[in-house]
Amino acid sequence: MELIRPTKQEVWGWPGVVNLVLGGMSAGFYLLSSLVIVLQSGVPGLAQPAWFKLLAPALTGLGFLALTIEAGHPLRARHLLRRLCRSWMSRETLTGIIFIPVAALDWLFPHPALWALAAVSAMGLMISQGFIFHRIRAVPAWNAPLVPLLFLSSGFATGSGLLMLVAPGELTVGTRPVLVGLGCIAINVAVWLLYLRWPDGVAFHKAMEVLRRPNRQAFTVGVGHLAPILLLSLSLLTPGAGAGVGLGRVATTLAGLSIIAGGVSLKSGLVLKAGYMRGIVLGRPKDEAPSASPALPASRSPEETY
Amino acid sequence: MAHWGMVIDLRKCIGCRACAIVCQETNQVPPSRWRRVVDCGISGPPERLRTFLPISCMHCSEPPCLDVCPTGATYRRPDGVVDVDHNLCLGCGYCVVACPYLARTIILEDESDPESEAMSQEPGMTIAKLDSVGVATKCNFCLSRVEAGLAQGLRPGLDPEATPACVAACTAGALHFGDLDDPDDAVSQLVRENRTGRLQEELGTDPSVHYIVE
Repeated sequence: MELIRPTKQEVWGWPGVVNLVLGGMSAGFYLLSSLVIVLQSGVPGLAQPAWFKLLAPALTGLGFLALTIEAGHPLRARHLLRRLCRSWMSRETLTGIIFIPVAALDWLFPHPALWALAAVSAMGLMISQGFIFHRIRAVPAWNAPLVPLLFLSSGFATGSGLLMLVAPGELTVGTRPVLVGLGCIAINVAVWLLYLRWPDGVAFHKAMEVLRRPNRQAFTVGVGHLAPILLLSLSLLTPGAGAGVGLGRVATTLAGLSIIAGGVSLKSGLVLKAGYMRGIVLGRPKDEAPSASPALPASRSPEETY
Repeated sequence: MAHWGMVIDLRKCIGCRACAIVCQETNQVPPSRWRRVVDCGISGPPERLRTFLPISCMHCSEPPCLDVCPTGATYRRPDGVVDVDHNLCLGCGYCVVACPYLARTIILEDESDPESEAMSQEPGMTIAKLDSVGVATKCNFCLSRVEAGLAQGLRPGLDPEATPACVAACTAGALHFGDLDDPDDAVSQLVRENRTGRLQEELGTDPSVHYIVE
């Protein structure tokens, strides 16, 4: 029986959201920009525009920097690698401290090996951020099995948003970045909608109520996904599609902004709105039949005596 | 090796909150941080019982806070007590959100309670010890009292000086402390002879705090 109702977590706030958005977006951007180069038959480590290589680690670094606002003793971050065998936060730190300098080195001394190491660590960063949340059994909305996949798809989607913003100036690669972006957004919205309706118990569904509200859905799904799909489709239909000129460029830029705004809405909703701690439940007494229940009150709001 | 645990008799708890206040004073933490007493309300007819739920760290055998801690600051001792090395903790808050018992807390520098300071046994001492500010802290079953008592040959759970302050201060005799692995210990007998349940059992945390419900 539930003795204390779920309460919203107040420990992780906007700095955490900034880290998640920037980490996922920069890692997704790094991988997608490489993919676009591969699609045009280039060698990723050499053909990627130089400042792309710097933008991704810089954003990741900013994300980690944001966390220092929240941590009580940020200088003790030197201990963060002590639990690599168990803690996903240690693993996130490891991938971050590999990705940032290696991607920056690749900017200074372009080499496919450096690119490959940075790409692997970027992927690891997105995966570990998802698992940081998935491992939290106390918060039903985060403990859902789809959460790691959601962080991955969201990272790629927001990364594609950043790509839409910067690619027209650097990459005249036809329609490929736009098609890659469309694919990422479509996958992300599908995972998001599936997540909202995931059959994961009463506590999860209660936590999802706030994310399913029409105004939030209108922003996360409408502005963050459907609008960019329309805008990117429009850019494909304009003359000189993907060449980074005229109406097409305006559409891709707007789509990029829209996607990033949707990504912020998605992750802030997940962390700040759906982060309800599990209600505290007293287990069935050891000798009690399943149907019986001791004379304890039904769930009430936590009201401490003083 | 003992496995320290607690048994809380919900039938006896009167919600006086003495346990929470003495915890606050002994461990010099802000009010209701390491130990709280929650008023869960009144049950329906015919019983119409009002229930108070004293709650703190459950010293789980499978602690979710330990699983997630990135620095190794959280550790489980052989005697079952889950403790925090304040010098390793950076205050990331991961364990706070991971604990399904809301038992962990980060004490901020500006959290002081003048009233409590006035009552403190050590004049001039701020409410939170300096080494616990900005880090994730929690109940540790008053380890310093228990260990000091053991060193003097006292028995935790029987001798108040060797027993967690909350248990020693419980006016209603609702809190009990002892060795759950010792079948002759009072807590083992209470668990054996009463209808007990534990909080959040479905999460598989295997808590060391048992509640007598009826």
